Amino acid sequence: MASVEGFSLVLSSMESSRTEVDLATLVETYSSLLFRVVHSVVRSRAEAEDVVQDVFVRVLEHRRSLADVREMRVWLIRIAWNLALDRRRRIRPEQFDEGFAEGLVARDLPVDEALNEARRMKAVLREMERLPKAERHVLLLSVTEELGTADMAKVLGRSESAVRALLFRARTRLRERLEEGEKR
Amino acid sequence: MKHSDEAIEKVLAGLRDVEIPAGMERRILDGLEERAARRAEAGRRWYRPVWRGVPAAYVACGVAVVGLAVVMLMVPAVRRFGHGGVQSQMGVAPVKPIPAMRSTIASRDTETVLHASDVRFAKRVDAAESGLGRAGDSAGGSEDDVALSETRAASFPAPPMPLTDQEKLLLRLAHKNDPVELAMLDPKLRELQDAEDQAEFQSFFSVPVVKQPAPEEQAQPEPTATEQAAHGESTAEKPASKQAAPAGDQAVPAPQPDEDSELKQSRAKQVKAKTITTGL
Repeated sequence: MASVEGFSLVLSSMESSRTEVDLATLVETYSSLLFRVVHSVVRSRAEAEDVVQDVFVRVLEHRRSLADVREMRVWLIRIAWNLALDRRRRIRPEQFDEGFAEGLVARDLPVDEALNEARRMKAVLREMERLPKAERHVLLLSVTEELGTADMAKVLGRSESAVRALLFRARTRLRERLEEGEKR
Repeated sequence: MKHSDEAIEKVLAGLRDVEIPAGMERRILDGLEERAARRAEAGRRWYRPVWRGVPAAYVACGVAVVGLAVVMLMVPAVRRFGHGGVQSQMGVAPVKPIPAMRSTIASRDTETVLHASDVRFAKRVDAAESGLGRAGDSAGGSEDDVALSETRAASFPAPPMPLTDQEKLLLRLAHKNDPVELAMLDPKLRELQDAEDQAEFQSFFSVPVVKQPAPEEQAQPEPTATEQAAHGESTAEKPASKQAAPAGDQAVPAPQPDEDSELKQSRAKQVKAKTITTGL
């Protein structure tokens, strides 16, 4: 029986001890990474935690095939990514953007500057949502530092060069649109 | 441009450095445990019998209805056949073991066992009948004794079990009655058979007896070539037939070929001389 921070995961007696250890270890190892990946899509901590919970539920359902998974990290990120996109269709991430943008502004700024800064952050998030789908996905995945180009390519099912090109175009397009918005 | 880049980097950094909710792992594991327990409970419920959820009242009603139906069906049968127990006490002809059950290839031992069982059964029936007679004499007051004797009596012997395949094969082997095989078991008959075979062998390979020519026949002149052709004999076949016959113990030794050739040459000369003189 495995224990994580004093917590012991008790599964049914039919489960093997190996599965218990694997599941607890997976939660301990990958929950933070998965939370960041999901949060970049849904931009809500509560929704992100719920999605991460769903990820490990899926793992529990496929616990018999865990031994066949070659790259556990990429496999988990792909599950989380797909579940986050599915959750994004049901919720409107824009409703959480205001609170998220206000959380990014430094608290020691004056009120007027803080409002301007928050407005800029919201503009960035809004323009990110307007990016083409492939570019937006690559940009959101690049947020997670642990993910390299190869991992992003595996998650998105694209080549590494395509991922690099999409990331460059996404940044360029986002910058141009933000400049156009500032000019207006 | 600088401002936009800074804003982009700030947003991305904010997404990257998002604070992990405290106790998220514990909550996730709690949820997994709860879900696993629910799954296990669902699995146990899946194996649970269907009738377990039926109220006990329905089960009791069903049992009562079935019991009533059984009683209603049994009452006419009991009335029709009377008291079955008394009838058995009255000594109804007992059912003997069916003769057809006996295997036709069963051994005599099996039959003796069957006869012994019949005898025991007859004795038991006689004892029961005598007991019943005594019971009748005592005005039926000792039915309990009859029942007691019936229960104490030896039980019916079980009918003989059918032979297994191996037993049938053994019986077939033991009762084959093949005369040749039986005769081979007798040493005298076996020696007699060996002697007959030896004699037949000797008679087949023995050399035929050759007759010795009489002295008168030796004096007679040899037939001519034309006469030999008329008889259809060839002089060349004779030595061959003689050579083909193997020399046996009982065979007469054949004449030497050198002597034959000298005799033939001398006879041929005499015949030539006769023909010349007659021709002249």
